[in-house]
Amino acid sequence: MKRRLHIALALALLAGGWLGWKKLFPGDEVLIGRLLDDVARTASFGGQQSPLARAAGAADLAACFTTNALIQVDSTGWGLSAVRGRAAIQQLALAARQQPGGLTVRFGEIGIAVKDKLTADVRLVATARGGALPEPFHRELRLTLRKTGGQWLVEKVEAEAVLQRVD
Amino acid sequence: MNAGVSTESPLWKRVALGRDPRRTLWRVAVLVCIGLMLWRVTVPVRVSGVSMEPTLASGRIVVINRLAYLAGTPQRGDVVAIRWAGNRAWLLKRVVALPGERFGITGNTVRVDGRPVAEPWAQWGGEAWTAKEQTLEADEYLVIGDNRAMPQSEHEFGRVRRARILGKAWF
Repeated sequence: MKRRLHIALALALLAGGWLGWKKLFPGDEVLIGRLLDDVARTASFGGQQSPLARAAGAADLAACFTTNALIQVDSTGWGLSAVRGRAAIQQLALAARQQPGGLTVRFGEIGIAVKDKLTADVRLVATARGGALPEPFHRELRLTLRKTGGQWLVEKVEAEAVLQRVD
Repeated sequence: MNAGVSTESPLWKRVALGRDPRRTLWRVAVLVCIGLMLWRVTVPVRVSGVSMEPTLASGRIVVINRLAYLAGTPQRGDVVAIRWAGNRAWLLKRVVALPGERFGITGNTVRVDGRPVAEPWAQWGGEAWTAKEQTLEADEYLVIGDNRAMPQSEHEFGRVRRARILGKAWF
C-alpha cells in the first residue's frame, strides 16, 4: 500500500515537473502560437477608439514584425501591393484604424514548421471581418518568422496566389 | 403446466431497436453511411458576391459535387468550386479555357486557340476587358465569373491549378 502511494507521488511529481518545465521553457511552436495570437489581437480593433488607443494598437501590431518586414497581400479592387518596414506597417495599421466599424482578425488552420533555431514557416488562413469590409476577407497566408533577441517576429507575409492574374 | 415466462423484450428495447435489432442496426449503419457521403460529397455553399451574376445571385445556395471530377476533368462551361482560403472559403467560377489551350481577351470576347468562345452565360458591359495571349500549362484552367459587366480590376479571375478545383456546382 505504502509502495503504491510512493509510486503515485513520484508520478505526480514527474508530471508536475514536466508541466512546470513546459510552462517555464515553452517550445518554439508554443512561442510562435503566442506571437500569432498577438498579431491577430493587435490587428483587430473596435469602432470607437481614441486617437491614443489607435496609436498604441498600431505600435503593438508593428512590434510583432522585424524592422525590415515585408507584407505582400494583393487584393482585387483594393490595390494594396507591398508594405516594407516596421514603420510603414505601423502607418498602415494606424490608417486602417481610422476606418469606422472596427475590424476583427482571426487565424485558423495554422501549420507551423520550425526550420532551424532561428527561422520558421507558418501557413494559415486569415479571416477579417469589419464595418469597412462588405464581406468577410479570407486569405491563405505564408509567413516567414525569425527569432531575434530570443523573440519570434514576423519577417515576411505573403498571400497564396490561388488565381494567377491574366492582365 | 407452463410457468408463464414471457419472452417478449421490454418496451423501451422494442422502441429503440425494433422487433429485429440486427436489422435495425444495419439500417442505421446504412443511413449513417449515406449521411456521411452526402455530407462529404455534396456540400451546400452560400454564394457571397456578385461575380457570378446573373447565373448565381449573392445569397443563393448552391450544392457542390465533390466527386464530379473523380473520373473526369473539368470541362469548358462548368461552374467549379475553387479552394480559396482553407477549407471554408471557396470561389465559384466558370471554366473558360482548358489545359494547354492558348487564350486571350479582346473586345469583350474570350478567344481560345484563335477562335472566339461562345459564352451565353456571360454578361458583358461597361469597360472592355483585355488579356494578352498566353498558353495554359498542363494542369491549369482559365476561370472567370459570369459577371463581366463589373470592372476587370475588381473581378477575381485567372489561371488556377487543377489541385485547387474541389468540385462542380449543381444548381
